[in-house]
Amino acid sequence: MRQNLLYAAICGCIAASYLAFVFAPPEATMGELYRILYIHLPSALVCYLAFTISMVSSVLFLRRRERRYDTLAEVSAWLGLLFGAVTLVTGSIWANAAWGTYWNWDPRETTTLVLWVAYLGYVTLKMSLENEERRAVVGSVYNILAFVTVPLSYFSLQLLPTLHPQVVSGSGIGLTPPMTLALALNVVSATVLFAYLLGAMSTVHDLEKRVETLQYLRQEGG
Amino acid sequence: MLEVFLVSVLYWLSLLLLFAWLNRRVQHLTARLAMLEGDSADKEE
Repeated sequence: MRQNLLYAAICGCIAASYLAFVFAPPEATMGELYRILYIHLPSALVCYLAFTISMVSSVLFLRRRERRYDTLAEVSAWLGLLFGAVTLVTGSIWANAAWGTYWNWDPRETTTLVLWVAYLGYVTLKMSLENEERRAVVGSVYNILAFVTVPLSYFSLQLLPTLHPQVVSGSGIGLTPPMTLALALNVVSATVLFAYLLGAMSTVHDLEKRVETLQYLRQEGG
Repeated sequence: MLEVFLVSVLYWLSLLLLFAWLNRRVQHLTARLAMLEGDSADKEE
């Protein structure tokens, strides 16, 4: 199942890259530089998805006290940070081309940075606590509180005055059907890639725990 | 356009490195687990 997901992710990413960098025509105002959108938007959506999965897993952990949910929450948060970093970097490059500066504290930029820092706090908190049970509970509570930053970032376009273009409503950038097709395939392939990475990282996490437990038992047994 | 190209290369390179790291980590941990489980089985016998 996971191997199939990997093949689907690789094929999807190759096809998506072809559509993004070869098939889709240049944009009227931004020219070739608009192509960064094909990395920026899928990364942003996957980032929101990862933090949502992380928050839901933390809620499930607090309700059921099953360790697999805590593992899923942590792994998903790490992936959210990875895709969030890609979103911030590509967004800055876009901002430099569109507004003449890499960072201008636009509400969308600021709320996304706050979101990223909040989840950096989550993984740092989890790494800093020694006791496993305490780490899982405190981390889950923090994760649920940190999730407030996700809707804040997502709805900042509607709630606050911003220069950020709204691709979905079409204001700021006009997407032709080939561009929309390329964008849709990039979103789908990034999501499949995320699903594969989530599964693979969870496996690594579980194996690490089993090795740690066996090593501990071995030491205890002399 | 150079920025877009560089970011794309970095993006794919980082994902490739993540793939490679995950594969190596799974192989290493599976081997280590097999060794530890083998030791435990020997002790039980």
